[in-house]
Amino acid sequence: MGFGGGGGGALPNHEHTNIALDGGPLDFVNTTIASLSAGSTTFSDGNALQELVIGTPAQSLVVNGLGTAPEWITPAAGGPTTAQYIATGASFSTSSVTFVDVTNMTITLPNTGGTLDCLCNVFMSGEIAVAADMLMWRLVKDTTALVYSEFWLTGAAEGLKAGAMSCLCDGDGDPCKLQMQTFGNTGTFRVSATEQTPCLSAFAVG
Amino acid sequence: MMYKFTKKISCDDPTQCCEDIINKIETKFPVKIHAPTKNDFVNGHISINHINEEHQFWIFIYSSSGVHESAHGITEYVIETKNNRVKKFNGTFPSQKEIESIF
Repeated sequence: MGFGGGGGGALPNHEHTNIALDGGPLDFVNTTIASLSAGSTTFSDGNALQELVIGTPAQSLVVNGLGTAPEWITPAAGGPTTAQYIATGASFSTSSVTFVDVTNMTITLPNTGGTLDCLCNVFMSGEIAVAADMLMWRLVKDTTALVYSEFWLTGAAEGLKAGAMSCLCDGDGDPCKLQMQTFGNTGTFRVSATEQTPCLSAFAVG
Repeated sequence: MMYKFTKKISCDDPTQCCEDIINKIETKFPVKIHAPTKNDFVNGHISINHINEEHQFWIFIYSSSGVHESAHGITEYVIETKNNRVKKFNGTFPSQKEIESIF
């Protein structure tokens, strides 16, 4: 039966309420039809119902920027936007009394254009040949030292020592590298396939 | 001066491996690599990347007092850094062949 009532004559004024003979509530469950596309939702603009056609897969329904209507948006990817990681497979020794680059421990920082939005981490283990010497480590961004650490060792008999350094810096695409030195005896950045896997990593966290 | 080369050797103890090379260099040439204390001067240094069957060696003998030399980690260019413990080697610089003859 149409809204005309089927019996002829004009449709009398009425509301859709629970009151008998007042039209009753609209049945939205698989009964009422409208000129909408599959998947569409409706909302009011304050004057009339409006159609919001369905979004694309993985989009989310949010309130628009004016706070007046819903809209579909594609959410930004979560988590770190960029990550760099390197783990060398060989030990490196030096007797240098000035900092030298550790082979295969240089990475390129993420290039975000931001300030202090890059987290750098390095895990290292080392040993030294003789007593009364020490291993010194530092992370260098391009030519600027970021963070420093040192191992005091009483000699080779003491075995390996392990440590870590971490810092925030600008994500600007610069090289970031691990350097080491001693006071003039052999120090080793030690890698063991079964026990130690030193690594250098950088994450954009902004 | 930088001497760079690769040797098909392997080692179980990288620290001892490097010490052995330093001792051979200091025995064969009048170059002071070891520094017993942090105040001693040095004529050079050695760096080794201990890849199995493909050890990479960088042996430096310094050309100027107060100027430390090392290899850039990527470009391999020689980096010069001021260091007052560096003393110029006044002897005759060995050839690459003479350096490699220690093996």
